[in-house]
Amino acid sequence: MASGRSVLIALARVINTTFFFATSVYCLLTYNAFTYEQFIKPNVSAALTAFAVWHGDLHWLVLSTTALTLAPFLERPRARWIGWSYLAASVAFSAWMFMHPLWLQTGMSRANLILAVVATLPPIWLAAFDHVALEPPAAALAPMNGGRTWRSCWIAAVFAFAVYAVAAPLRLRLTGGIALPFDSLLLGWTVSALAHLTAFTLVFLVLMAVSGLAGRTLSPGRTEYWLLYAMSAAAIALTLIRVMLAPIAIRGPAAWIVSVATGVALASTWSGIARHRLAGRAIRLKADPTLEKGPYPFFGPLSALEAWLAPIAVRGSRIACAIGLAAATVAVHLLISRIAMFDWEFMLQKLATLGLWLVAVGFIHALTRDPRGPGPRRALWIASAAVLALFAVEQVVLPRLPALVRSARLNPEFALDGYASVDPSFRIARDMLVSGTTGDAAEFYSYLRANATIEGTRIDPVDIDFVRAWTHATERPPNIFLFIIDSLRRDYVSSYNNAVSFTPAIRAFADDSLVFRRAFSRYAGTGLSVPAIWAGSMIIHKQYVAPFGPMNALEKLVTAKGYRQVITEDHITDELFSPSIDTIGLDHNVTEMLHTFCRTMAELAQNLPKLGNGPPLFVLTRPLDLHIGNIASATTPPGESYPGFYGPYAARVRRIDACFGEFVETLKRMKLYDNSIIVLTSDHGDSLGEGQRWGHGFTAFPEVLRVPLIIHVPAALGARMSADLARVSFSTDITPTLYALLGETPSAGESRGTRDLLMGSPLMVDPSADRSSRRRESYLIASSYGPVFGLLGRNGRRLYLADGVESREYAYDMSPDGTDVRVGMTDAERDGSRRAIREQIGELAAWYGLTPER
Amino acid sequence: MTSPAYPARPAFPAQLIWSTILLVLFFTIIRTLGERTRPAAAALDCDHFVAGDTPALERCLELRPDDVQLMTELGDAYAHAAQWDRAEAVYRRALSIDAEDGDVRVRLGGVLLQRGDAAGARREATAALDVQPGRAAAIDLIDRASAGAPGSAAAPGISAGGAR
Repeated sequence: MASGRSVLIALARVINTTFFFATSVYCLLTYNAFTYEQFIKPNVSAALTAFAVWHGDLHWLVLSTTALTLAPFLERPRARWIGWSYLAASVAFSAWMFMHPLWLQTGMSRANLILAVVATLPPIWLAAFDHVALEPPAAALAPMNGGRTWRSCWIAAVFAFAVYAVAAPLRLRLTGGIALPFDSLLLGWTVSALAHLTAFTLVFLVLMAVSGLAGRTLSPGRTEYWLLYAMSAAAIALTLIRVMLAPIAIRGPAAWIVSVATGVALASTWSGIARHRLAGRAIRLKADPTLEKGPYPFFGPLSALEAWLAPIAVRGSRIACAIGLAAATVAVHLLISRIAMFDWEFMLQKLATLGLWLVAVGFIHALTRDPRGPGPRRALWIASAAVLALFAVEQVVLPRLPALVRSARLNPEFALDGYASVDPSFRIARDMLVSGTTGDAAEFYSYLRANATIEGTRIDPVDIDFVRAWTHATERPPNIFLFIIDSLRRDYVSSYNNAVSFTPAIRAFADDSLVFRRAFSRYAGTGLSVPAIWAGSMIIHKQYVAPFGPMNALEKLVTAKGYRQVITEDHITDELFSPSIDTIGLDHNVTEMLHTFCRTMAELAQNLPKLGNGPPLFVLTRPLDLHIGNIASATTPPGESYPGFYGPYAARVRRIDACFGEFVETLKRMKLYDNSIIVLTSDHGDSLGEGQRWGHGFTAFPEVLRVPLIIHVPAALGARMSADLARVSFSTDITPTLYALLGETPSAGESRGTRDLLMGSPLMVDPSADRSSRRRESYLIASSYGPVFGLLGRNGRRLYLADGVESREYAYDMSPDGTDVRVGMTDAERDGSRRAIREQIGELAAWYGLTPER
Repeated sequence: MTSPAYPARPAFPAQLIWSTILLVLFFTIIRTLGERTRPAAAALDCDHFVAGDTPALERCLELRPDDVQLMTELGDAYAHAAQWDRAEAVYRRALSIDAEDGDVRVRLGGVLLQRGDAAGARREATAALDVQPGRAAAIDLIDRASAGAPGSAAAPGISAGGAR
């Protein structure tokens, strides 16, 4: 009964802490410009939106549950005032939240940050109540036993390694996307085993340091326990900073404050739960004193480490511990298979795996026994030193391995990256042990971080003008239809991939249009790629410079030419486009994530008859059928199959194609097709399982940068101009191309040096113009959401990526048919690429009047 | 339950010292190892060189054997020096890597026309127009090939500068 009650109370504490943790996370996402603009405003996560909307009601539920668990202890004198004050404060908090609902909070304000920190207080308060209300353990805690701790750590290392190593071949086969030959898999297993052993040896050494420090005090066991508390809070804070916040570009003092507060809150809750579990155990011992004299499970005082691990397991049935380990293993694999598609650069998988590590240590420690002897023997120090030395030797040997084994094919770095994609436990261990860089590399990555997702600095807009003065053409300009299909991959369009049979309408359209075969987005995410399309140029890495008008070259063009704007209302157009009095908004009152191409085309087709005879139309839409937020829950419709493609995605592309075809027929029926400029493109591609990657996070891999770009031009305009379809082109070229097509030839003959590399240029030019510079130059590309920059060169065949989040770099050979091969780099190539990236970032910063951060 | 009898505090905190030493040593050594060593590159800047510097271009091409732009530059250098067979070989090598390079096709066509192969020149110019519709240089090459007139050594529009 008593232990049952302690379990229920523990569950209530978990629910309470989860609620406030989620509140804190939501407030932090609202505070940060990038996450607010790209996650909160467009309601990317339905669950997060629902949480915010129902927050008030959920709080009452949580409060009621918590109150029930406080009630039995409120009579105790020491706990009374803490308990009642908690309840009173909670009621006041509820009332305040009723007047300031979470989902209506203004974004990017200091109040969000304050609320994020305040939300960590209730769990701390509750934990204080638990510590005061419950009787302290009758027996003082004993210091942890070194030999037992060592054994627990090493067995946990083997367990954590095995859980993922055994599943790795299966995951590779089931999910595809990574070609890992057997020798590479073997290398992965070997390195992973040593990495796990090293990581857990470090954990052992830290625990020994804690124990050694506590041993100098009067109450070693008690001191050890509270040092474990402090260490856990610090570890949680560091994990939040590195695993959760860095990938979503939240850094600086705000990140540290919230992380430390959350670390203290979670460690406090954990300690409170441990107290309840130990109290339940004490009650069982009191009720049945024979347990004290019985076989091992209850004999002897608990150590500080046992007490700290009590929320998982105290000394008990071996079978129960074994079942717990098995259940945790199954649960983590099921969880990973569910979240892999909607994960943000492996963040959730890492957090789930860290949970498994903790659970493994808890159960395994409960299974092991104290060896004879007071402290760790010399052999433990020697074994630990040997493991660390072996790891250091491995770091030296690995780069030389291909030469040692005489295998030119084996590339250890690539093999381990591939293995890490299916083994998040190895990924964590590797990040722990080999993270960070030194010297020039560290300085370079620091430079990238300082020049990405800029916040807190006021930046004035710059004027982006492609012409000095407008011509006044007498003839009516053609209509412009700009379809930006969010996340449409080029290799799912038949004009780019002969294996595609499900886009016949786009194929027919392309036969009558210009298909730019090496088109790329300069940004790997909507947040900056769409504004960059409007600007016709790369823009400063900030969301957003306001007012955007001076930079919106596209808006200037359509306004100057008297276009009537017909634009889909989404969080970006709402913020950055300035509607005129006769602007027609498409998808009005439709939740952004539910913007579909077919729905928008139907609405547009309905409006066209009314608008066809008026001013020329400028139509802009960005449907989200293919966004990973929608694809993650999509299925392949029954009866359809797409061998070689990701079925749910291909099915939606098919539907988009059908609706596109219908719309083109509508334009032809209304005799609008021939005199319209129609641009079909996307803001970026997407990862659909390549290297176990899904979606488009903060990285900029080739499949995310490639976009389709198909432009239909009225015959009269096209006849006067020429295009190079196999020259690298960018979505930022669309706006200057529209300028050129409408007779506004961008200022020719003025070379602005490096700035020319940042700005778009017309894709259609005078037939005698020299366009060869594009083939020679290398162009900066960037993630929209993090400090990841790259250089695209050799006419779109070589990509260098520098990842400032994980301090790693990649280079790819990209063939025009879409196959990408990761390649190595020489020092000269790396230095040259880094230099070019710095130059272009520096030019961008100087353009906006910023001193590039060093 | 009775309190355990703890052993007296040791005079020398071996546990604390050994664990701290191992931790500090480990992280110091791992940080010091730094970036892994990679094969050294030749001290040659293949992104900036003097136009027509054939020896430098040839050395760069050895380092970057699949760099189409280097091949184009080298082919231009050979063509300017009237080394038509070498120019043709390099241009064809470039096209074997990137068959869609219209600029190289026009250049190759010009070289072929110089060597009297009008049909070959027309073929290359037509292939260039597939990827560069309306390109004046390709149309001009077809016209010259049809008229049987040899072209200039390099196709128009080729930059004389070697800086990249």
